[in-house]
Formats: sequence, C-alpha cells, structure tokens
Amino acid sequence: MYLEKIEKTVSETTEFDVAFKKWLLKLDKIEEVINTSDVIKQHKFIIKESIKSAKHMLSDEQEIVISKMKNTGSSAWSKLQEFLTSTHTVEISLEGEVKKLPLPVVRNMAYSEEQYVRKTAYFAELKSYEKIENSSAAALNGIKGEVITLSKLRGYSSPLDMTLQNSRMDRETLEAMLEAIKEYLPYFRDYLKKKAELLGHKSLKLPFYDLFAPIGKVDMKFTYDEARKFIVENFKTFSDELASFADRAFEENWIDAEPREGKRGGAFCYNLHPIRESRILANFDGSFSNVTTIAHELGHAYHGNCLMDETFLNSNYPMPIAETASIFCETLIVDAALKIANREEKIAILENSLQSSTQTIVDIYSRFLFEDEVFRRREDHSLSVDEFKEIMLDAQRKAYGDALDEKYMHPYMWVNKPHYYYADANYYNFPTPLVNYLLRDLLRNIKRGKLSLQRNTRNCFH
Amino acid sequence: MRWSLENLYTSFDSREFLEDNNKVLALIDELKEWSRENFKSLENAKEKIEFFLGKINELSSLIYKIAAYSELSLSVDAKTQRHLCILKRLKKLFQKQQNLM
Repeated sequence: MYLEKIEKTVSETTEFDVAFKKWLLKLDKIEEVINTSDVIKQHKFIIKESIKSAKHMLSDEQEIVISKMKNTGSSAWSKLQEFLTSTHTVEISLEGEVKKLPLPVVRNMAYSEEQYVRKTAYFAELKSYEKIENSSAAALNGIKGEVITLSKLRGYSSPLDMTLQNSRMDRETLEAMLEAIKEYLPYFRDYLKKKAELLGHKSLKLPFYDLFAPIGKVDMKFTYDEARKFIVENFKTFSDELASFADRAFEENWIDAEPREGKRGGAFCYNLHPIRESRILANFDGSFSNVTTIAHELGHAYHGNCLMDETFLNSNYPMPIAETASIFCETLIVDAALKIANREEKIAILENSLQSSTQTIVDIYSRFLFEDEVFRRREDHSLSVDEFKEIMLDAQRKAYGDALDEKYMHPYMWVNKPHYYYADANYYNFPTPLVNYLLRDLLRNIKRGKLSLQRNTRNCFH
Repeated sequence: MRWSLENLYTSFDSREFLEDNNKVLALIDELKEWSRENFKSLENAKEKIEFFLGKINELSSLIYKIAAYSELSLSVDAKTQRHLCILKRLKKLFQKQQNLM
C-alpha cells in the first residue's frame, strides 16, 4: 500500500527537480550566493552541474511530452531487445546431441577448456542471431535515432558531446585516452598472437571463439577464513586503514558469501550511505578467482566508506571513476598471489589479467568505434542488418588488427551487448580504459615509493 | 557467511520501514508545494537553496535506504514474489530519484 503511494507520487518529483534547476539558471550572482553559505559551498560542484544541465533543458511542456514519448519510443525498443535476448535460445549440437540452450549458457562456453566446445558454441551462436537480427536492428535504429533527435533539441553538438558532459569528462581527456589506446594496441596484439600460437593456430591469428580460452590452471584453494586472512594481510601491504576496514566487513557480517538456492549469482557491492556501511554479495566456492572477486567488491565498499562524511548528494560518482577502488584492490590481491603461485598458476593468473585488460582496452575501443560510426550513419538513414554487421567487423579490425582471424570474427556483438540499447547511457563504459591506465600508474608510483601510502590512501578515492 | 540487514530494517513489516515510507510521501508533497511557492521569485536565494538541498538530501537518502533493503533482501531470496514486486517498483522509483540534481 505504502509503496503504491510512493510509486505514484515519486513520478511527480520531476516537477521540483526541473523547477530548481531552471530557477538556479535565472540567478544572476550565483557565485556570490555560493560564497555566503557553508552548506551551499559544500554542494558547489553539483549546483554548478545543475546549472550546466539546466542550459540543455527544454520548456516544462516539452520535457513532459519527451518523457511520455520515450515510454513508447526508446524504452519500448529497449524492452523489446531485452525480451528478444532473454528468451533467445541457441540450437547447438554437442557430442551428437542437439540441444536448445539459453544464449548466456552458450556464450559461457567461450571459457570452456575444450576448443571443440568453444568453436561449436561460436558457430551455433552466430547462426542463431538470424532469427532476431531484423528486430534488433529496428530497436537499435529506433533508440539511436531518438538519441540524435534529443541531443540536437537540447543543444548538444552530438550524442558524444552529451555523453561526455554527463560523464564529467572533457573531450581533450577522451582524445588523449584514444591516442594512448592506439599507441598501445600493438602490445595487446602481440599477446593475442602468442595466445593463438599456444592454442595451436599456425596463422598466429586468434579466432574470436578463442579470445576467452583458459591458459594454465590455478589450483589454489581457500577456506572462507583463509580468504579473509589473505585479503586483510595483503591489503595491509598498501595501508593499515584499508586492511582494518576489510576486516571489519568480515567481522560485522557485511558479506553474504555462501552460495544457496534462491540466491542470485555473481557478485556486487551495495554502499549504504544512510547507515555508513556496505553489503557485499558473493558466491564463494574457495577458488582464487572468488578471492579476487571479494577483494574487488571490498574495493567498492572502501570507496563508499571514503565518501561517508559527504552528504548523500555529494556521495554520487560518475562512470569514469566507479571501478577505480575495486580494480585497485583486486590488483593488490593478484600481485600478492603471483608471489606464492607456482609457474603454471602464475601463467594462468597473468593470462587472466591480460584477457581482462584486452576487454577493457581493445574491445571497449572497438565498441566505441562501432557506436560512433552508427551515430554518424544514423543521422542520414536507418541502418540495415548488413550495415550493422559491416560496421562491427570494421571496428573489430581496427581494434584487434592482424591478431584476430578475419575468418572468425563476431559481426553480431551489437545484438548480445545490452549496453547499445540504453538510450540514456551512450558509449557505455567508454572511460574504462582511462581508469585502467590511472590505476596502473597509481600502483607503479606506489611501488616506486613516489606516493606515501598512509597519507594518500583515502585521497586516492575521494 | 551470511549478511545481516538489521541495521537497515528488521523486516518489511517493521515500524521503521513503514515510517520511512510515509516520510518519503510527506517529503515529496512538502517539496512540491514549497517549490511552486518559492521558485516564483529570486529573493532569499541563499535560504531557499539551503532549504532545498537539505530536503533533497533527506529524501534521496530515505528512498535509497528503502530501495537498498528491498534489493538486498531479494538478491538472496529470489523466490519471494512479494519482494520481487516491491523491487521492481522501487527500482523505477529509485532511478527517478537518482536523476534528481
């Protein structure tokens, strides 16, 4: 009953949100007002950001019409795509048995230890998309078309310009990041070629279906208590504060680690600013990979903890920095494990790390190129399935270069990644390479003693 | 190896949970009325911004707390349809709230 009332009433909050921002825009001497009050000074950043966003707001009536039309426009297209992919099944023949399996199950076969499984799954997946490609293309055309229309109406020079402003990132920063990626692509390609060689591909070109193939094996096993000890002790090598924070999370039952029926899979961290705590969900099975997952989530929790003394509004942070503390903490644990691992385990851990960096640098670069080209062409016309496929292949060629086997690429990545279908989050995850770079740089400086650990721990994530 | 959510709420039927839901409704009504009246003129800007920021911080924090409890409860008990229903609504509600400011 209460929730129904809130649900109905909350849709009306847009009224005072928009009213406030537009009213701020009318104030002549906002700097003077800000400087007369400690409370306002404390919120200076978001006040200025609100004024900036108000400049792109349309009239009240137009905003209401847009918000209603989006329900039957981009939101409806997103729901259609979600329905198509979540109910999509793939017909696959493995060891003489033909099965119809859900898409995520078949995509997960990319991590199989057997090449035959990885390759069969890849072909079955590609074939299956023919059933939904036209509907997905219609959805993507509808969504990207709406984004272009709205970004123009709101006075942005392009959807990218709008995305950068929403992500609090300057165009110069983006351009520097893209230049740095291009400069380092050859190193990633060397790694992929080596992987191709290890997997027996004589051409030294990796087929898409082997990108996630496991190399080496990690036999390390941990009890939950051992995982706690390993994490806390190794966090201590960075800072006592981080270590005692992690220990507190274990001690005060902030972590739900036990896999059980009815519990969702994967892992996440929920920072609870209103009670100055966090909660972490994980499904701990004793593997080393699970230990790094808990360390990663504890990083998110620590990030939240660094912001507990801020007001609720000031504790919100944008996409470019969301993964900083988590990847940082995960890296501390990976580095520690490398010191005690045997040769086979070291190879597996390092390869896993390279695999993940390839995704966050090379693949995200290909996604950026794809989306940019889609926006460019969508200005002119609705794209056909073949055009989407051609743009995706071209983006993969530019990102992976000669390290990816031309015969086995993935022309349908725009169908299975839900991010392309979020009308309010374009170029999804594009700042991740920057985060990766900043973290590596931070760790390098810490190791070289250029940064004092104790003094800078909190500042790093503040 | 299981978490405790008691520092948020003891249950969906607890007095605190119901009270916070009511507070959200009351705050939204108050802010709607207040903004219609006060954003007409540019006078007393300092006082108005201070008041609005204070109320929005309070409202966002309450909605976040309710949404967090619902989502965390559901994530370890997916079979509870009641939770699922609450979550779906709150997710929508919270997304709206996050866009404030």
